[in-house]
Amino acid sequence: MTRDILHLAVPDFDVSLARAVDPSLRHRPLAVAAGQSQGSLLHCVSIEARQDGVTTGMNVHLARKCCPSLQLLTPRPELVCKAVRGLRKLASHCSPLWEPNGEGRMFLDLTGGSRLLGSPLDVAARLEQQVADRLQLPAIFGVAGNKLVARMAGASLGRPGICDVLRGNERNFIAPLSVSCLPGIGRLRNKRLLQDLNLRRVEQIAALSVAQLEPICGPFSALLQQRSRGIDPDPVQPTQRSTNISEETLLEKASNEETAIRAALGRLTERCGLRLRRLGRDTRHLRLTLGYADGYSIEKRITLTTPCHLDLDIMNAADNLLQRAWQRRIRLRHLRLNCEQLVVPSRQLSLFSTPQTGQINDALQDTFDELRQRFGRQAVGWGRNI
Amino acid sequence: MTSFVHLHVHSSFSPNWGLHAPQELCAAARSLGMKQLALTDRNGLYGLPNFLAAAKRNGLIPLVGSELVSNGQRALLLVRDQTGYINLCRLISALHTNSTFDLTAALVSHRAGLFILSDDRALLTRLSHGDRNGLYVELSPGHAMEQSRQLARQLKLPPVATTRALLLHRDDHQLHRVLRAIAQNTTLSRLAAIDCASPAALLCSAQDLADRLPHCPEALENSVRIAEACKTDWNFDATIFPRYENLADTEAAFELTKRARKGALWRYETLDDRIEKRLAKELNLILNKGFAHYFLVVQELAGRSPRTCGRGSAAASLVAYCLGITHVDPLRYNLFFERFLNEGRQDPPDIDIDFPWDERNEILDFAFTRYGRERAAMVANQVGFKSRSALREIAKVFGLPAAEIKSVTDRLASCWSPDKGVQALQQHPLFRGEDLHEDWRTIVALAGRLDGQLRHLSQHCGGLVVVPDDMRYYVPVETSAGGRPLIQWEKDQAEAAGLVKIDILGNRSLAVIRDALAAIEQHHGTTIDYPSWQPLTDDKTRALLCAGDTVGCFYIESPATRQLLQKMWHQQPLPTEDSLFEHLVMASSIIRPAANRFIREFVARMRGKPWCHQHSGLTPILGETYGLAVYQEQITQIAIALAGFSANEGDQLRKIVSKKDKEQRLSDFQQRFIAGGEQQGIDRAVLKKIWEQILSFAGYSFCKPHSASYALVSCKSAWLKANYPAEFMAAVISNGGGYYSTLGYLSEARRLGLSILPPEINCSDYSYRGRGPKLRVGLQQIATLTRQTIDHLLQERKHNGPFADLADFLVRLPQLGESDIKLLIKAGCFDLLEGAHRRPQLIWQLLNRRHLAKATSFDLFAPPKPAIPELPPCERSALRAQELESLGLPVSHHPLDRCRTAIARSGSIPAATLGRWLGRHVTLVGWWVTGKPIRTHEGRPMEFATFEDHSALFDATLFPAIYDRYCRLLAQPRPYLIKGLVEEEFGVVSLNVKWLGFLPV
Repeated sequence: MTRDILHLAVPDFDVSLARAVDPSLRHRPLAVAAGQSQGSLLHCVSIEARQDGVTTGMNVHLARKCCPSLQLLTPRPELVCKAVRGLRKLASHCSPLWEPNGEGRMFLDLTGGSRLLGSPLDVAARLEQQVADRLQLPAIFGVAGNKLVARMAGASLGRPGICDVLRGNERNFIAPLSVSCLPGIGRLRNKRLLQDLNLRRVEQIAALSVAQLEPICGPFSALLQQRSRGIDPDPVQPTQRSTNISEETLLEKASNEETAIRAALGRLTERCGLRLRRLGRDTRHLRLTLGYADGYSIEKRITLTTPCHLDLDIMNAADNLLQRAWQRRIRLRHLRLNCEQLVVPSRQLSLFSTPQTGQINDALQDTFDELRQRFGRQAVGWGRNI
Repeated sequence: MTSFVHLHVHSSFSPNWGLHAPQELCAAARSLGMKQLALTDRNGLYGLPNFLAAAKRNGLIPLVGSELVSNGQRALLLVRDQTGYINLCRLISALHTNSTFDLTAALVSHRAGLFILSDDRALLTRLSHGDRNGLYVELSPGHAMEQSRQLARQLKLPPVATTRALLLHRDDHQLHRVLRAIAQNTTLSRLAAIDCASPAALLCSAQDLADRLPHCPEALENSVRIAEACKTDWNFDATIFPRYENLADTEAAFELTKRARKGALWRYETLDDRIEKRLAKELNLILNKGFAHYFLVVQELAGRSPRTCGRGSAAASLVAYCLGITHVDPLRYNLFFERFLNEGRQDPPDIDIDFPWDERNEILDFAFTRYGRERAAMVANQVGFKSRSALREIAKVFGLPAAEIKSVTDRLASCWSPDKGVQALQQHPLFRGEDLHEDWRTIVALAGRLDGQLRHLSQHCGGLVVVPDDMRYYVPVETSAGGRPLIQWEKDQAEAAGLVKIDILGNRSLAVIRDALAAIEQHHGTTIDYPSWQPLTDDKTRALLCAGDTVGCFYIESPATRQLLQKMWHQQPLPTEDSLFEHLVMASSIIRPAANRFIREFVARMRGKPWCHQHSGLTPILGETYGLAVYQEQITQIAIALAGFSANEGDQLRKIVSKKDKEQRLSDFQQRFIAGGEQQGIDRAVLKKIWEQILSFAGYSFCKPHSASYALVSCKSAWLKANYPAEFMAAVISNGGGYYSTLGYLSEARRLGLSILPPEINCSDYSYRGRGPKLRVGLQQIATLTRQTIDHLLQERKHNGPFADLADFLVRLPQLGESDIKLLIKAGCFDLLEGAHRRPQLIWQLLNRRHLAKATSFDLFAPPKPAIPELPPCERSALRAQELESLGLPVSHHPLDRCRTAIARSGSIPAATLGRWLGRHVTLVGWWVTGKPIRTHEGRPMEFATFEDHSALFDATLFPAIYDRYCRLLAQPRPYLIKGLVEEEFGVVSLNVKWLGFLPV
């Protein structure tokens, strides 16, 4: 059966949201940054600013040099939540099978719904209208027989609109596109394919056999060949309950001050801890990812001897990880903490530890959580995290 | 009144620790009313000669010591007598050179003549078991004083107070922490307190310290007792010469005389009166001063290579000439011996010898084998902060990314001091209108405070010191990165301490001459006898020099020198051999930073402008140089003749003029010069004009013997260029070139009519090869290709013949790495065998080799080998990109070739026709070749730039107003569009730039 997959993407999500609220911002160079200081980093950049050389991750000082008329906006998480909810609601009216693909992006599986909802092109047009009317947001739609081509179709537009690819014609559609459009072609593969072997278009890769691709791309060859021929059997999968907890933060200002970094990490552990306790789980494994201001990132992991869920325990383990991972002097701008291998807390007490300590800590943590729930997250906190 | 002496003081010579120069510390101590001051830099005596001079200037009694810190042990050592000094030098040397050094154990055996102060319990306990004399417990504010007092009581050792001073002001501590963070490769927030000095480490008054130690007055009193017992009669006046083959002084004198006379016969065949008299005079002075050993040692080293260039003032010595150390006849060219040696000269002689750059290490190896690591050592460079490194290192501490740091530091000259760098950031047009980030403002403020702090030692490029006994009797020795012994002093301090330096320097042009001569012999069968070679007898060489076509020729290839040569001989008859040489010597001497306005006058006078001496006393001195001071030694001679200076005073004046921190002392000399001249009845106005000429030697300048030595090498280079351009240009590029980039030399080769051939797997050698009208790029040009890889390739080709194709190459050289072979393919090495269009297939074949190697295990079900795919051939632009990637520069074409259409549209004229447009405004297209930023008399920056187009090189001047506007655009690897006024001076055409931009492509 021919599949009908739709990919929806709101371009420059944060900027589009700001413009939805304040239309006077349209056609101006905008960027969203957590702080207004010169070292603050840009989260999201409008197309007008991009044309002047401003990019995501750049600091405000440099961005202003590139684009003196750049207007800075602060992130508005409440708007993001509202818009994400709105998009999901609209999507659920079109298909029960939708899959989030990052903020302001999602896949919808419209297969078999044409008698009920009309052709996929009609659905896309209707959805575009609804997104514009109800959320005042622009959107790019790609419609094709699979997720890969639907996404590439949307991206090939480069502006809001709909690109519908004739089913069965996916291979021909992507054939003239640049090799770098294919997912999985990173900087290194791009260099090898593009510069060394002079393979520039997707069709040139599609013409090669897997055996011929293997010396170039190794185990990725089969998948690459499949993709270059417009084949993607991956189904649209609804959100599943995650077995991991992940919290991340983009620092308001890139920093290499130990107190600031530990405070940011402490706040991440508090958020992770709260989610763990709400799930009623302990974590056995922590993974910390540090992103430096020059784009380099490093990841370190630790397996805990005793699974835990209390802020203080996670904080201590995370501090350990930080010491191991943070080896460069370059400022950090991004931290992500993952709590993995979630397990049900063990009720078995240790023969040789005083059970009272654990109980007291649990009670203290419960009190903190309750205070925060009643009076807000700022009501009480660890001094080091302020 | 409380008595106290600072016994523990760190100067900026404590690596990565101290902040202030000895002079500042001495001045501060003097202002606190101190009469004595110790300098105890960490693990070294890095600034001892400077400290002794500073203490003398400030009327302080100097005490000498060092704080030794090693593997968690720490002790402060102060010198009581000469034995103590030798022991201290030995201990410091052992600390730096012995990986198993144990401070306590070393002190047990080498503590004679030293006071030992420490708060290290284990160290003091062990030492207190032996001789307790001279052993003290150190009490310092901020360093667990109570525990130290307890230790003193327990061990029954006397306490002594120190502040471990390194700060003069409280806010110095912040700078110290930055230094520590740089040294520890960490950030300020992660810097441990134990890795830094205490904020109390101030050079405070005795009363301030007494207030901190009210409970222990004896600790202060002990400091005075120690100071009184320390060695204070420091004298480094004696010159320490090497000893040749352990000969006695009389034997050495006899040997030198014998060799000098033998050498004179070799040089002149017969000895006339003039030669005899000069030889006798020089030998007399040399032997009287005890320099015989030194000359013999230098002769032995110089004799290790057939092609050397003895230079510097030593080239004025007939003895050096006869010994084969120098190669210019001092009698023929009237070289002033007193510039090298005179009765009054107190500092040791300094002989510099250039060797081919790639032979220098062999010469040094020989010297160390001959004299041993105990007697010989290299002079150090004391590496501190310069403008770029100061900003870069502090910015790293603040965590800024490398790219951001580079964007600022790239615009600074690497030789500027941090202070000058900061000034440039604030005032130079390159940074005008720059809105510095708030973090950068902090960084710049801190960088401006860095001045002369020692970071580490490096090896001086060629300074060798040889002593008669053991180097560790005189100075502590470390080991350089290359494994050679390295003294802790740089050349000035080594000289101040009486150590005689022999400069063994690397010279690329000597290697160029060697390689070109070898190629000429190989290609043409022509052998040149190097010692009797007279290059200026050749008309073509003289014509080339007079035309200024000297790109590639040693020492005379810069745009300024080329222009000067053109101006000197434009439309003049070809000069005689001697006249040309004399004028070449003058030309290479007068090109110096502060002499621009005298150059024009020099050319005018040379071309016939009437002139007269400013004073009749100058006639014998400046007669040969058209009444203008051209050579360094003329300063000395003028001062002697007009102002009654002694030879030594005149020499001091010469030295001070070319030094940087000269202001105060120069003004003293100026007053003496004017007063001395007036006493001799010379008009003050005349004296002032002559003084201005003397000042034009500021920055750097040369003596005639030095310039003459170099001019001889220049002439040999010019002969090679005039007669064998292919072999010469190949040797120039292979040896790393000189003033210009490889691209610049390739363009010059094209202008000489040579065609540039890309590297080829069966034709290219390691180096560039030139023959007839062709220049073949060497494999050395392929970036990142290791010497070992190239050697493997060349050996295989030599033993088993040329390669048939890539497959053959892969089979015969399985040990070569994939990335290296890929570079060879991209550089076009296989284009002749396989065709440029097949490069993608070749790379696939290469990648497939690795893939097949992985699957070599016997597998029944292994798939068949895939066929070589049909990959699209590379377009021209892709081939050019690969050439750039692999070779680092375009060799198959000039960068302007890609812009032919844009050039045609631009309405520009070819640079070769510039002379036809005198006084007119024109437009040119040019590729940046080189630039020389200078400052005008008023201190405004401007730049002389050289560009090239398809037809010729052309020089352009950006005067201050234009430079202000366009300086940010300069030195880019992009085609320029230049508009300006064509001007001419003495027949040389240049462009006065009015507008500059990039050619729209």
